[in-house]
Amino acid sequence: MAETVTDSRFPVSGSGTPLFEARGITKRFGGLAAIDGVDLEIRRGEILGVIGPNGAGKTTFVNCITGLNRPTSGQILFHGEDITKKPSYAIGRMGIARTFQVVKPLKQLTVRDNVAIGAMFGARGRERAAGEARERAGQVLAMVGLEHRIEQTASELTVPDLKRLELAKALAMDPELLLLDEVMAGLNSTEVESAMELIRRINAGGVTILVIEHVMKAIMGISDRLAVLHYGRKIAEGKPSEIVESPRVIEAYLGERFAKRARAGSQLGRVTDEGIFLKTPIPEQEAWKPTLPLPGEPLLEIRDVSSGYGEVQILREVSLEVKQGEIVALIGANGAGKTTLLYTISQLARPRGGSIRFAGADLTRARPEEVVAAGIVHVPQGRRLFPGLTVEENLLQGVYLRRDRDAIEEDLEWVYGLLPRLKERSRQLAGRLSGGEQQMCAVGRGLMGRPKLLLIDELSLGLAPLVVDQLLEVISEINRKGTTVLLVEQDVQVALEHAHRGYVLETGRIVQAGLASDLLRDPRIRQAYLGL
Amino acid sequence: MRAFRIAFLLAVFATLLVLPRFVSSYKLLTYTTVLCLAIMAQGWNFIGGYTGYAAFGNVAYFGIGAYTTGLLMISKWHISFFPALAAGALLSACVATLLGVPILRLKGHYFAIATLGVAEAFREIAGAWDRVTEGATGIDLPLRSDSAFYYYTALGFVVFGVALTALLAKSKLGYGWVAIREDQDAAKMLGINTTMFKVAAYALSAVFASIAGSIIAYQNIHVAPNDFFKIEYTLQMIIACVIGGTGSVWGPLLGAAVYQLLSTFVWSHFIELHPTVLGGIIVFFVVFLPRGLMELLRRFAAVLKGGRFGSDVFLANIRASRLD
Repeated sequence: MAETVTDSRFPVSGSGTPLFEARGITKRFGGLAAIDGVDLEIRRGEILGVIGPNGAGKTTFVNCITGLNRPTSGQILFHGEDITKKPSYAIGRMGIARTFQVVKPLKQLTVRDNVAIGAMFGARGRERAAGEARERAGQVLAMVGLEHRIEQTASELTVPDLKRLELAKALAMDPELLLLDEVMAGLNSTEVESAMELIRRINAGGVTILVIEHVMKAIMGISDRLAVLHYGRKIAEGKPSEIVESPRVIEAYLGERFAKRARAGSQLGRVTDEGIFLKTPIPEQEAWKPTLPLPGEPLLEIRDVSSGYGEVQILREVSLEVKQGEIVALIGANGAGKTTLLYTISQLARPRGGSIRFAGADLTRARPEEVVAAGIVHVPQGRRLFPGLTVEENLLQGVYLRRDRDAIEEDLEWVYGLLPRLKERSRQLAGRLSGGEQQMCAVGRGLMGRPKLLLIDELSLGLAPLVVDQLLEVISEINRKGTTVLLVEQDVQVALEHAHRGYVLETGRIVQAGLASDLLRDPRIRQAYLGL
Repeated sequence: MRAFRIAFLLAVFATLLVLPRFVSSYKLLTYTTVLCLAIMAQGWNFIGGYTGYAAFGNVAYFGIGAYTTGLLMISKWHISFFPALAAGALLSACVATLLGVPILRLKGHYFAIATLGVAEAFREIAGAWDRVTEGATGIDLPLRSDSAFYYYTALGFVVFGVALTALLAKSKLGYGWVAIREDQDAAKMLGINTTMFKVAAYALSAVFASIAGSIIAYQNIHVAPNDFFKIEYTLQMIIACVIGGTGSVWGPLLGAAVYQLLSTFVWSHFIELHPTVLGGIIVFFVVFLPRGLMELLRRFAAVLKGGRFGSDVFLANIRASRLD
């Protein structure tokens, strides 16, 4: 995968005839146009990247293509045939397969049966009998690297494995057009690399691909062309190298810091050249980026804590300390136990040994609500909003334990000020928000609790770069106002750039700790987590 | 293990075959009722167990089967029992298909409420349509004092039900149902015509309920709205399924037998508290065995084969079915 990958392929795909065409697609929910007159052409054999801010309508667009939402107006052609009014299953059988951003595994079935169902009802009249389909599932699972989980039930899988399963289910259908909705969210750099490789391989096998992704390195690295959606409209389309130069796109989506990263990605074909990130001057952050460790008293003290679920032990004698006023990053591969550690602090998983002290009080045997009352608020991975309540009602759930009415009003305004998108959507049901907006809502709900210590699990998961920037600024601001933060983040670069100190967790043990700036320079960490 | 299983099943089947020779004809009526409960539960298993749609109105088809069979047998054509039973099943399938297309679009409890409404509507129709159904009085069927006939008929359909379930569970239809249960949007995108699959499951469940209704009607020789459209039948078929294990081949049959045993036992020991005690036992099953006795049997079988019981997964399953 050298520099030439994108450039040499571009002319090939450019000459391809359109496999798919969307003409003036509009989708309204009530008065709100989620998509507003989008024209889009996908050429045979290309990889088309679709980017745009959270709530820009990317997932809705895919839903319209696949018949899960009916476009209010417009026309969709596949192989020149009008599929606008076809039911989803028929569209699937014609050869359009998709993955879901919020993964939809068939939980009680084994991994093999999940994929076999795709192969069974598969695309283009090549349906298989149940037995054949199960064999085909084995092949596909080997391709995506899930063969070692083949007989497990889907409910036992971790998030990255569930993403792979999504991909495997779609692939088993032998699609001609594959729509990938954020399959890389939640993967670390090394895993992103292998996912990119896999997508290239699928594409080389003759599958045309539309990919929605916020992981800039990936989208810049694999896309032949990019289309940018913003507020439901297409604001730009072209080669990746052109798109990252577009001022409108930078303003609407990328933000300056990520634009630089992205440029590095598209121009060099890869972002992995040593020094690109660090050499790039980042003046805006330097202004507020914390550098020195704070002396202060330890606010959270974890000593030799072990924890796990059922018969499975995950954390082994973990010790960690967060001082008053610090931002501490917790990094590690998927499955290392980062989420479990946050769960253990919140008492959603019970510690099996060791002690947890917070602000002088012993929380080792506390109940979850006592932890919240003590001032620890947890923004969980996967948002966990109340989908049937409005945004505002969700935010107000964050003050469940508070009685100070006026201050609550004030805090609500404060949160709306920090996250203006939430104010625009305050009366909407949380379940109707886009993935990124849900994440904002989850962070906002956490802030409403006026935490002393905020635990954040995967802040950037599925968020547009600009929003990640905004949220990081929000976090730095509340940190300056005195809130201590323990941050779990898959984007190790971002995490360490914004933290005072960091801990590295591997297979349930802390293997390294230190100043964030030191960790960022550490060759071992750069290799393992930054893919450098 | 496999040989043992087959031997065990053959033994059970042989016992069931010779049973009528050894018990009184009154007792045999009870057994027939249990078998009919198993038939209904097998039917409910398709829509409720495999497809995951909590149908609360299947008694409607039980009643339709009973009335159709009865009315055809006493009509001027004097149609004999089996053709009348088939006609009832066919009518039930048609009604279920017509109703299923709109109500299967509803999700979760909305679907459950709609099906409850359907059952009530049919009870009202049967009660009010005097000219045909003789209203609340009901109709009388020709007498046949051969209790073994009902028993063997029911047993035959139970065996048919087990075979059909086993066959469908491994077919594309079965896989499609389970996919719908687990995630409907995902199922659609995998190329499954969800509407057709759901309607098929619902119609099939209606056919089974209808067959049970026909047999019971003939056995009771009297069909009246309040006896045949009562919600207890729906509840019993659901409970039998839950006790045995929803979405499994043998679950409904096992559940029906265990439910009957429990019910008889409780009747004879706690006459006054019968509903309370039985209710408590059902709650116990739902809470501690959300996947039914079949799950427990599967785990014991695994231990016998030298595997592990898998208590972690077992407990995780229990937890997964609770809110907190």
